[in-house]
Amino acid sequence: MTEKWAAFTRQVRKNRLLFLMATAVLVWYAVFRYVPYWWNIIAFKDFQWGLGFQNSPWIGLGNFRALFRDPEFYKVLRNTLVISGLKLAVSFPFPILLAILLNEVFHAAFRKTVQTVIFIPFFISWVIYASILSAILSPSSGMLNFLISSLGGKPIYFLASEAWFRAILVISDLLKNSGYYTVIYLAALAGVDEEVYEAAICDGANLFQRIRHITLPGIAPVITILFILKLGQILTVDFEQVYILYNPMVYSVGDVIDTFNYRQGIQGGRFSYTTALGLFNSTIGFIMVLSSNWVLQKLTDNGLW
Amino acid sequence: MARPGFRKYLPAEKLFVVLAYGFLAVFAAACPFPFLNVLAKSFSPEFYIQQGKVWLWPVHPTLNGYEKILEAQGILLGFRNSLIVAVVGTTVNLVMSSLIAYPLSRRRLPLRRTYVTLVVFTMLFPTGIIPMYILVKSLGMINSMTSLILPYAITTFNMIIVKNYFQTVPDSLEESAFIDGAGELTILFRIFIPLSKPVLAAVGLFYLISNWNIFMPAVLFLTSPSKYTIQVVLRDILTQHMLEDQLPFDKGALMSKAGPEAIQAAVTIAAMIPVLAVYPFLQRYFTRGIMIGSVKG
Repeated sequence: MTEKWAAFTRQVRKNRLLFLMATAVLVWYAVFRYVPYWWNIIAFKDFQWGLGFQNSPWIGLGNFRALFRDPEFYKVLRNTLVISGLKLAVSFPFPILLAILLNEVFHAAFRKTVQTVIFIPFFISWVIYASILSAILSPSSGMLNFLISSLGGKPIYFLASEAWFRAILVISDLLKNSGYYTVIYLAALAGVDEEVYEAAICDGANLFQRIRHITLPGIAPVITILFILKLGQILTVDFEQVYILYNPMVYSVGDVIDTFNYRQGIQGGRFSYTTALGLFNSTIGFIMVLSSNWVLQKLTDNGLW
Repeated sequence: MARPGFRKYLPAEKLFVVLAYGFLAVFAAACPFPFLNVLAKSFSPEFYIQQGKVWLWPVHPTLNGYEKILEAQGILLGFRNSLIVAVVGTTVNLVMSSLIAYPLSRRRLPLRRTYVTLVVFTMLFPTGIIPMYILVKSLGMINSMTSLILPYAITTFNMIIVKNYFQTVPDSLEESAFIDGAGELTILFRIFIPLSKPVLAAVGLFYLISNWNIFMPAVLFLTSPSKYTIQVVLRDILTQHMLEDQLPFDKGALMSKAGPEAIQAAVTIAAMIPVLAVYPFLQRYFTRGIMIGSVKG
């Protein structure tokens, strides 16, 4: 022990400034990431601003009990899982398809143009994107509704329609973010040597066999990583997207954990209750990442670490 | 690409490639379509927008929408506030990220594994909204631009990309610099940062765009409209508009030249300009920078 300690102090002395730099920034992590972790303790208290942390009474698991008895909680949990599941099923595989198709295109200029066009929306904020969407979907001045009414149909208020709202979330997510993931997959494919394709052709592999045995394995590690990350976020539907697009008329299908948390916590002042919900959320996400990483490592040798 | 020419393809392969072209062309054409519609609306009088006359080209082009922006104090303030957050925030981001990425990338750092674990853990276990709000409030930063900068000074994912790239710099470089009497900061700023320009450019652009787009913290922490960033201002315009959409509409009231729709379109376009302006650079550095840096290290 003392020997280890001596070695450690010697190392610190030799790299004094380096250690100081790292420690100084670690202080930032302590204040802005670890102190909020510590504030999670109020999930076990009945926290009130007036009383402060010290004097707010402990109530054990009271907040969690209230949470798990709250029908609203099950509503938002179900909405979150359904929307996340739909996105995982639809907008997760879509960029993989785009990347495979782009990889088989002959004209480099065509590929480049498609990439450039579909890559942009990822970097535009949801507020701006929603504003653009409303130009299409608005019942009073949206293009789609002018089209519907000119065909003799009745205008639909998409964003206030329980039947349409989840579809809008999934489709807009797909349109906005597909390009980004496509570019990531294509970058992974750039690492596949063109000679592998040529060799496969010599051996008589057709296009579909090449996709199956070269292209897909080429992007498999990236698919794995992105899939693990997505699973970890299964209980966090993009707050910004839902918050901007939803309204009380679609709460029944569109209100998710994060938006519910915001309304109850920040607007309603139920700090302890929503901290309990947030803690539940983070813990599930953490467990999901660890376990899916573990399972995928066993199955495929690819993992996050 | 040295693949066999299209002519040598089997019929099924030919069909697949043709369908691929068609599908990609339709998808790529659909993406900018709504954007062009908003662009056209931003240059059109409200009257024609409400009539459904404006599709992809302005009708009776006018700059009224944009002139209205210049008259509206709130919108101008929004742009100013966003600009402050983007410029100051990104500077802070890059300095802080480099300052920790450098030591974490060096094997000689004492407690390196512990520090990396502490940092990576924050990526896996998200900070809740409410604890963050309480922290910002207890630090007295509510309703200040600082609340959008300081708590978000480092995005761990971006920092790790820089760290991984720094790791590819061989130890021999800094050893010779040490012999020449250089200190750690000199080595960071004179050797590591110049060597890592593509990665820092990519990460810097990432930070810049996320600072310009920052939304949830702005909604959480900013209380007075004079502090609102442009994203929040646009949110207000948008919700106002969505609200009106639900009411029986009095189109007669909107005969004025630049009504809500035209102004909303103009603000939307204006708020997109910074992103579009850096987009060519982003595209250039994205694959080069991010991919090199993402190599596991």
